[in-house]
Amino acid sequence: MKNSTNRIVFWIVVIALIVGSVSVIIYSHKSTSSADVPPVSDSDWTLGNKESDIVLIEYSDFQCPACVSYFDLLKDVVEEFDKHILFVYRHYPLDSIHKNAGFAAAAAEAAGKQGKFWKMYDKLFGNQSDWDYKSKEEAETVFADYAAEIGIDVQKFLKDLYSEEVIEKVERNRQSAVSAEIYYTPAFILNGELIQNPRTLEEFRSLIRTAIEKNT
Amino acid sequence: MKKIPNWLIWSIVIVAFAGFLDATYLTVAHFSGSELNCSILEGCNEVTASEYSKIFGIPLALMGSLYYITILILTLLHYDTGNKNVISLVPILTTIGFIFTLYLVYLQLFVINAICVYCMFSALTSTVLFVLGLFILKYRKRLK
Repeated sequence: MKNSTNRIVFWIVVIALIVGSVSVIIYSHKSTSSADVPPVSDSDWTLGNKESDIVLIEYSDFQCPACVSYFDLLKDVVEEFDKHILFVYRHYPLDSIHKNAGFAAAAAEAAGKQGKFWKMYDKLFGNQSDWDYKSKEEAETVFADYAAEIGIDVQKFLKDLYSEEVIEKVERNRQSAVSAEIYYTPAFILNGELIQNPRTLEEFRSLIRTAIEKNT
Repeated sequence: MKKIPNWLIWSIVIVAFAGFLDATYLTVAHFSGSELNCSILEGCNEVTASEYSKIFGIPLALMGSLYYITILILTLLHYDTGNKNVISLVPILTTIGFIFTLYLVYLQLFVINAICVYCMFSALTSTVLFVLGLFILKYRKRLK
C-alpha cells in the first residue's frame, strides 16, 4: 500500500478486529455477570449457615473431571467459612458428554431421600473413575455398593433411583441452569453473580471475604 | 510490488483468523478452569484436560493462538509492504504447524482415544494453511 493514511487505517482495522474478537471470547466466558437462577429453597441441598445472606450456589456434574478438582477445593472453602456462608449444590449433568452424570445425580438424590445426600456426594466425587464410563448396569452396582457403605437401605435406594420424583428434581435443576444461560460446569454463583471459576483456594477465599465485607 | 496473488493472501488471512479464534477460545477455557459444553462430539474435555495439552507447562491452545496470529500478521505485513522475506516465513511455519498437527491428531486418535471438536477444527485450519503455504512456494519460485 502506498498511501500512508490507508496503511494506518488498514492496521488499525486489523488490530481492532483482533482485540475485539479476543475481548468477545473472554467476555462470553464472563468474569462476573448476574445469573437468573431460582432462589434457595427447601428442596436444595445446603451446607453451612442457613441464616447467612452470603449464598454460594454451585451447578455441577458428578462426572465432570474439573468438578472433581473443585470438590476438594470446596471442602476447604465450606469448612473455613461454614459460619459465614450458605453453600448450595445443584445438579447440572451434561448428559451429552457424560452419559452417567444424570444417573449419578439421581443416586445422590436417592441417598438424600434417606438423609445421606452429602455422604453420597462424597462417594460419587471421591471415586469418579469407578463409575464414570461404566454401563448403566455396572454404575448401578457401584452406586448400590456406596449406598450400603454409607448405611442406607439399599432396596429403597434402588427404588428411589428410578423414581419420577428424583428424576424430575435433577431435571428441574438442569433446566434452571439452562434458563440462566449457564453453559459449563462447574459454575459458581455468589450472591446472584456468576463468578469466574477461582483457580485456587486463595482466590476463593478472597472472593468470599469480599462478599462478607460488602455485607457488613 | 505484490507478487503473491490477492486470493492467496486473503485465503491465508481468513483461515488463520478462524484458527486464531478457535485456539483462543480453547486458551480462555483453559485458563478459566471450566468444562467445555461440546455437544457435537464427545471428548473435548478429555483432550484439553489430558497431560498432552501442555508442553513445558505452556498450554498448547495458547501456542496455537500465537501460531495463527503470527501467520496472520506476517501475511498482512507482506500485503502492506510487499516484503518477500516476510512471506517466505509463512510456508516454513505452516509446515512446522502441519507436522505438529499430525502429531496431535495421532495423540487424539491413538493415545487419548478421544476427539475434541475444537482441536480437530484447528487441525483442519492448519492443514489448509499448509496447502496454501505450498502455493506461496510455487508463486515465489515462478517469480525468481
